[in-house]
This record gives sequence, C-alpha cells and structure tokens, in this order.
Amino acid sequence: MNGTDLTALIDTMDDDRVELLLKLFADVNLTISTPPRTGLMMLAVHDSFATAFYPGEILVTEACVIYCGYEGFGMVLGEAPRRALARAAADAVFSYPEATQVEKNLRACLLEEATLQKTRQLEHAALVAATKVNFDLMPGA
Amino acid sequence: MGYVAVKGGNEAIEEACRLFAYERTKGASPPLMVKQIQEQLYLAVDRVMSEGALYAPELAALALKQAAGDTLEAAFMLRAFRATQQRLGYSLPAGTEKMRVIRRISSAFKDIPGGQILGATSDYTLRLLDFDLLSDDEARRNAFRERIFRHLPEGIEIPQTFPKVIGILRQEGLLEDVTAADQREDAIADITRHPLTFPAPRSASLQALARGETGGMLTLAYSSMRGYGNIHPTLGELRVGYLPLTGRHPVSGEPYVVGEVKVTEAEVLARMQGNDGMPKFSLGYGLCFGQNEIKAISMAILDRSTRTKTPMSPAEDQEFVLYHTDGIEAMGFCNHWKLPHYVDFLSDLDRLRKSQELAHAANRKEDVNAAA
Repeated sequence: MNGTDLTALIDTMDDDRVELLLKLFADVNLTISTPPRTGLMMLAVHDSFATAFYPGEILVTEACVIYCGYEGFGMVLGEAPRRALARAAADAVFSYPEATQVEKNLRACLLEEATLQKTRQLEHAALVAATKVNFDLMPGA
Repeated sequence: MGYVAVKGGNEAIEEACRLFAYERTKGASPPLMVKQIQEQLYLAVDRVMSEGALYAPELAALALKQAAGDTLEAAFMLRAFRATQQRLGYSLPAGTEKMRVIRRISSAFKDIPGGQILGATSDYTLRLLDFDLLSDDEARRNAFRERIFRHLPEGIEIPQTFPKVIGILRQEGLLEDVTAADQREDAIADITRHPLTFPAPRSASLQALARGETGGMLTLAYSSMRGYGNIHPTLGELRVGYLPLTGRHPVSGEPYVVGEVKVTEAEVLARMQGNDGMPKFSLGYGLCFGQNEIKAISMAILDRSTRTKTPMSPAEDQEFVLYHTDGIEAMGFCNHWKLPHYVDFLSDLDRLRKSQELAHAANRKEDVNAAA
C-alpha cells in the first residue's frame, strides 16, 4: 500500500486510534499551514448513459500541515478536525523523501489499522455473502 | 368583527419554540443520543440526507432529533446548514461499477454475473410487530449477534464490485443507444447555482430528482405504474453500496480518495421503438444518497417517463415532475399557509360582502319588479 492508500484508512479509523496516531507526531516539528475547516464536496456520478450529474454534496473537513518543507493535505468525511489534521500530518510525513523514524512508526500504525479494517470488512462481507441467492428450478422447468 | 393587519407576537413565538423543545424532553425516558439515531434509525437518517442533498450522517441524525422525527423538517435543516458552508471542490465523476456492493438484485434476470445478493432488507419480513423489541437490552443484542455469526456458512465470498446487469442487454443490442437518450452535455448542470429551465438538461433533471422527496416521487411514479402514463417497468438492477468520494490532491494532482458514500442505484427497463424502427428497451436511471430503494426506483421511473416524446400524463411532464417533487419547497409552500394572511383574507372578505350586497340588491329589485 502506498502512502495515499494508507492515509485513506484514517477516514474510518476509530476515534481513539486517531488520537493514538496523533501522538506519533508529538515530538515532530509540524506546522499547520491551513487549520481544519469544514466545507462541501459536490459528488459527481456517471449515470448509465455516461452523463455526469450531481446527486448532492458531502460534508468534509480539510487541513494542511507542513513537515520539513513538505506540505501534506488531509480531507476526511464529516466534521472531524483532529482526523483531518492526522491525515494531513501523515500525508506530509509520507511526502518527505527520506526515511525517518516517525515515517516508520506511522506506516506500522497504519498497516495495523489496515488489518483491523480488513477484518471488519470481511466480517460484514461474510454476512452479506450469506444472503446470496441460490435459485432452485421449479419441477419441469 | 374587525380584521386588521398585525405585528408582534414575538414572546408567544419564543415560548412556542421552547414548548416544542420541552415536548421532546418531558417524558421519563433517557435522552436519545444522536449516535443512537445514526446507528439504529439509519434508514431515516439516509432519507434525510438524500432529501436534504447533504451527506452528513451525524448532522442528519441531529436534525431528526431536533425535529422530533419529522423528516421534512430535518431535511430542511440540513439544507439550511449546507447554505452556511463553502464549497471546497467537486469530486471526480464516479462510476457505479466501482461501487462496493452490499445489496444487489435484478428482477429481469435470474442469473446475473456475480449473483443476486439480498443484503440487509425488510422486503421479506412479515410486517408483524416484534414485541421482543419492547424489552430490547444489551444481553438480547449480544445473544442475537452471537447467533447471526454462529450460523454464518463458511467459504462463501462475494466480489467487492459487480458488472452491470444492463451490460448484457447492451452487448446484444437490445438497449437504446447511449447517445440516443439525450443530447451530450458540455458541462454538468448545477441547480444549486443556476435555476431550472425547461426542457431541463439531463444532468439538471437527475440532480433535481436525486434531491426529491420520497413520498412525492413515489406518488408520481405510482401514478405512471398504475396506468396514468405508459411506463410499465422491469427492474434491471437495484444496488446498494458504497461509492468512493475521489477528489484531486492539491499538491500532487493525483486522485485522492476522501472516503466512501452510501448510495442506492436503480435501473428500470421499458419497451420502446428505437430511432431506426427496431424495438428496443429504454432505460430509466435513479441514484440517491443512503439506502432508499423506493426513492431510487421512483426516480428511475420518473427519469424514464419524463423523457416520453409526447407527454400525456403528469408523470410524463418534466416541468410538472421537477417542480413538484422537492420536499423542502413543497413543505415550505404548504407551511406558509399557517402564517398570518389577515390582510389578504380581509380583502377577500370585503369583496365577498360587497358581492353579497350587490346580489341582495339585485334580488330585491327583481322582487319589486315581479310585484309590480
């Protein structure tokens, strides 16, 4: 998983794990270049005729953070300023080209999160899969 | 009795607002937490988000609580909140074939690629009250959770994404041309920025329907299904799932997945004569926020019915449909009748009295003439 894929996991991370992740940056020199702000993203969808349209807007929170001169961007669903900061900080750390301890810790934390989310998704997918229909043909059909 | 224009009533209005809030709190039950509404009344939350045209589950749940369960009021609150927020950007157009599907059925084909997945649905429940829910508690829930996972068959897997059912018809040339349905559009219309004009471009029509009120759309779609129109649809595919919200990273310019948004999509098929005289299926399309299957199917039917070349019924008239299915506008207009109309009514009353006086005078004159 690349850095962007890993930071995407922060959107659905549990609140307490977001706080744990933020602690990884406690001793890191980060500058908040754009404080968290809420706003709207307009969703565009292609219909079955390949016509794009807007079914509605989505509430998001975005923030920007600078780490060693590299700017990181974080956008998450809903009103979640600390989550947006966490994602922006993670993005900035992953953007920095050299390997650092914080990058190593961050990657480990997010890979652990990936496993957690995968397990949760598989559990739900199994429930959904159990509703797959197996048709029996009527006699003579 | 005199009728006069009035002003004031502020104190009474403030007390009425407080009384409304009090009604929600006067009972002995513990306060209803927003998280409980979000998790346990999720279909109501989905409906409010869809009709409010704002995907914000927590705020939709809050709005439902504040509105004491009135979905129209709650959707109104979401729209009002939306007006206070700046637009940060637009997503890259999402294709629903990328949807992470949690439910997907077709009434057109028995065997569809990937299979029919019923998912979470109340379709097959008996609609009999479950009195056990009267004593819902944690122990009961835990027992239920344990049971549902214990009985889970092993080794069944479903793919994350599924091909479209209508693709089968397209491949066989049985579906109307992609380009035949509507004219190509240079830009996506946005009715939140520019008012609707008629005939509305396809993107504007779909946007208006996606924000529509479920009951209003169902009423019009039902009228078409019952015969006030010419659409007898078959459900090509109905799917519920999660669409990725993808924007662009402002620094790298690369696609950037923000998160996932739950949507319902419906595609209905109806018979038509193709441009070349060849009979083909035509398609109606519906998509809305959250899980709201009635709305998505109704939207698909109305999308198809409003593209009828010679409209013969209300559900086939695009202007009629799009102007009367926005719940916020409709409830606003209906609610405004509760506001003082004292001056208007006084004017009506004066005219009525004058008309009656004139009628009486005319009658008296006729009586005198008859007596003479």
